[in-house]
Amino acid sequence: MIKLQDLCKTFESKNGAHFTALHNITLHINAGEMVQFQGVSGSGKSTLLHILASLLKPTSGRVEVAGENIASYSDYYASLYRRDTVAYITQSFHLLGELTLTENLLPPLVIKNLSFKEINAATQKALKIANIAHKADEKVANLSGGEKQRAVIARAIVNDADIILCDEPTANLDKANALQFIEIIKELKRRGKTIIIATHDPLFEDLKIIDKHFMLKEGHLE
Amino acid sequence: MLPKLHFLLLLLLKHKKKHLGIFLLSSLLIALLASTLFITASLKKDIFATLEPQADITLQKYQAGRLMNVPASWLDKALTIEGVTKAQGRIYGEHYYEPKEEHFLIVGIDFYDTQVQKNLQKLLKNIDVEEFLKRKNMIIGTGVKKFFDEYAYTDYYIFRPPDRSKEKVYIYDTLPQTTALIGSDVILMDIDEARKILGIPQGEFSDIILEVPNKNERLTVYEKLLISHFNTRIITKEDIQKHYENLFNYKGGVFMVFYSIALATFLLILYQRYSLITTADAKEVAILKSVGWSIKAIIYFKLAENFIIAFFAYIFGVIGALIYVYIFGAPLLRNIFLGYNNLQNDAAFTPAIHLSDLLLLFLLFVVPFMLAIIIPLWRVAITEPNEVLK
Amino acid sequence: MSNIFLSPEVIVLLFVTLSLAVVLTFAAFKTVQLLKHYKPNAATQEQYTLEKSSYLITTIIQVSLFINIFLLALFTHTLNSLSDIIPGAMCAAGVVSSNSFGNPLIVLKVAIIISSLIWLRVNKEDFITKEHPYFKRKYLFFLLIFTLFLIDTLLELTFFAHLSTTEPVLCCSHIYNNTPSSFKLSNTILVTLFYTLYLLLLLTLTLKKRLLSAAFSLLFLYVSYLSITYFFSTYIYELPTHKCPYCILSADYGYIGYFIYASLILASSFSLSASIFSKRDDLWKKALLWYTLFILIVSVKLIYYIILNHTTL
Repeated sequence: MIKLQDLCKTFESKNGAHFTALHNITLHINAGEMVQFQGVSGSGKSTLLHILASLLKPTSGRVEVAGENIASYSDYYASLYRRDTVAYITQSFHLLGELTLTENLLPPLVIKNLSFKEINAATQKALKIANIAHKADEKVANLSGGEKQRAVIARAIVNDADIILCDEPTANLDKANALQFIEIIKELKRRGKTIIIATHDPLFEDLKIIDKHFMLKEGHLE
Repeated sequence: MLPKLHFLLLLLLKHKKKHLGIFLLSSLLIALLASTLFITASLKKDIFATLEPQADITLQKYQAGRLMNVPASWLDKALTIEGVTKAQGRIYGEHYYEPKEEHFLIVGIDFYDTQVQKNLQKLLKNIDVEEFLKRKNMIIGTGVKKFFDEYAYTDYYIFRPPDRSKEKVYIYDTLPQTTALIGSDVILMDIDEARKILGIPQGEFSDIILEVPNKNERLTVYEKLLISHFNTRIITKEDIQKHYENLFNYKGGVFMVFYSIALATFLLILYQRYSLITTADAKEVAILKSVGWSIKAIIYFKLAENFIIAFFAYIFGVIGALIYVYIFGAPLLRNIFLGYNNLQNDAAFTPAIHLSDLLLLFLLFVVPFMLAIIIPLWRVAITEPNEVLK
Repeated sequence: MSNIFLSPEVIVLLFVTLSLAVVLTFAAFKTVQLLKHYKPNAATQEQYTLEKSSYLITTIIQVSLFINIFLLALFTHTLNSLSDIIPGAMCAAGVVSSNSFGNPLIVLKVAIIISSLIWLRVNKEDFITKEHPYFKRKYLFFLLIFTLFLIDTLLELTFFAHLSTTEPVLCCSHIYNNTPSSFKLSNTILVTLFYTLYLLLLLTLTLKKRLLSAAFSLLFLYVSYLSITYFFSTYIYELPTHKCPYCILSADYGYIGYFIYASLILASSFSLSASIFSKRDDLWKKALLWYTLFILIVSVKLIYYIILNHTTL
């Protein structure tokens, strides 16, 4: 389902210096698989995920998702891809603080021209899966770390995306919340989602549900 | 559609601190301009109302570059023109009070004329013509009254005609406030009395007014009058209306020019303000992008947000202007519009609100506003989400 | 002359026009830069920056062209209100014909509006198609519209500068009664031509004939103007000698003119857009719809009169 072919990403800084984050990454991920990318920080995990989320364009190479090369997408098509096909979860909880949890779930849905009824249905479903329905009307700024992470998950899955990308999702969580997170991920895998996690959290080490492990070192795939 | 609006309002409220300054400044600017529009419209309305009973055509004699008295024979000749239902000679002139360098306009009135009586009844309600004509009486305008009061002419005034005699004329009444705009320095008196004071001999008039009720015939009458006498100046009622219209456009227009400069400055401030991209802004854009908002969607969303701000600032400003002009009487602004006359004016503003004026104002403000913010909003929308989403 | 420039409507009109001119000039500069350096599939930083600037340019153009459409309504409203201070003018017709810049200005404005509507359609098509096939062409098209807009702005300034509040002008009954319509067509021929063209348009639009419908649309635009001025307007004014294309825009007649001209302009734009993007069924349908609406609005008073009086004027 996801095919990377000779993927390279080089960053140019303002004074002309070049930094290659990814060198010729070639790999294959099947639909419904759960995949882990390991590597120290700076090894290019985030960059890879950004490219998979179409938030970044590669310098060269192909990024095929369900047969389409998303690297050639214009901003409009990239946004459609992000809207319908991927969900993105990070370690920091990027939420709109002054709004309630339910309101934070609006951005992905509002852009789809859905009715209030459809939005409500999708919101309820996502909150339930993320196990945070009881805090639906709470202002996000008042939530605990673990709750915020679950809020992010809820927003990420509210559009029923097939691919879920997680970038160090448990880095700011305590062990109990991290385990809760893993349970939700298991549930999503059970529902047939393709899950890609970039993490060096040891909790993920012996998980049986992970189908493939990839190791990144200084932008190279080992 | 509705969910988008709902989300739009949510974000709007979230950003209220950012928008407040601009909102207040916008309202002030609009209130200022709306006040100008309301004052101008109000004055125009008053003037045109006063002008309506004016003569359809006024015939004057113009010789060697100067206005001369019109011979009475012209009156009879005018009546022979088809379309002219009435011709009347008028007596009027300026009386100059030298010590204070003030002018009064003395207007002679034929009190037995039914039309004149009707008009006067409308103005003065209880004028008894018999009573008035028993002795030498006059009706003065509001500005004249103020002047006379200042110099203690409370009962009468002594005019000095050209033949060096003295004419004592009693003050009968004052014209009502609504005539203040153009009737402020007017003195009405019996036509023969006016003749005496102004030194206009019998057989002559200051000018002749004609009634031509059929609008379509006025042009023909005009042309006929033009060819019947050599030294004529013919003024139609439409000309006077256009003259005043131009006058008010002039004053309003000058103000508008200054306003445009103020607006341009405001737009610069607006541009600067929205060009400040805070980390919160960048974070918001990054979040929206990560859930599937395109750059175009973000730009248009923010444009819509700001349009709402501009719109409500407009409403707020217009309401403010309405209160300022019609309830408080526009304390400082009025002097710009009324201070050019001979004597002080005291007119209150009669409501005259035109939809077209309001729409003009809306365009004048909202369009430049929206254009000015496109670039700053675009800059926010293109911030890279990568650095933010770590 | 200064009297004209100080009337509120003219001030607002010129202020908005100049604002648009400034903003569009900026967009034009950026467009030229874009066209020079754009390389569609290059993955360089320069390319990404250019892509981002294309969003700015497109937004500016879309917003400006949208506003410009309303500016035409403001323009005609301004002409009507100027007739109050220009001696002899009873409506916009007198003002327009008072100097030689008036008529070309109107024609140019209509051309710009129709081109703008077509541009907005081209932009939409380009945006939603994956490879952005119309990218270069749409920006070249914009530069053409921009040039027309500049000419329009200059022409407008010149037009207003040459208006006088002291020299009397002709009023519409004088202009249109004494000057026969082009080619000295009688009303019967004109109206027959009008309705025939409409039927031909119905045919070519339903059959989706690109070239024919485009040609007929342009011809119909001109014939409609003549028909409205010399024939249909007399039924709206209920006076056989009152022939004028502008008086129907005034409040006296319920602003019906705006509906008539708006439907005609929309129909023409949809028809021409359909000729370009022939695969879009909705464009053909919309063209048909708006032409039919136009015919209905224009014919209403005529039909009413015929039913009442069993004859024509």
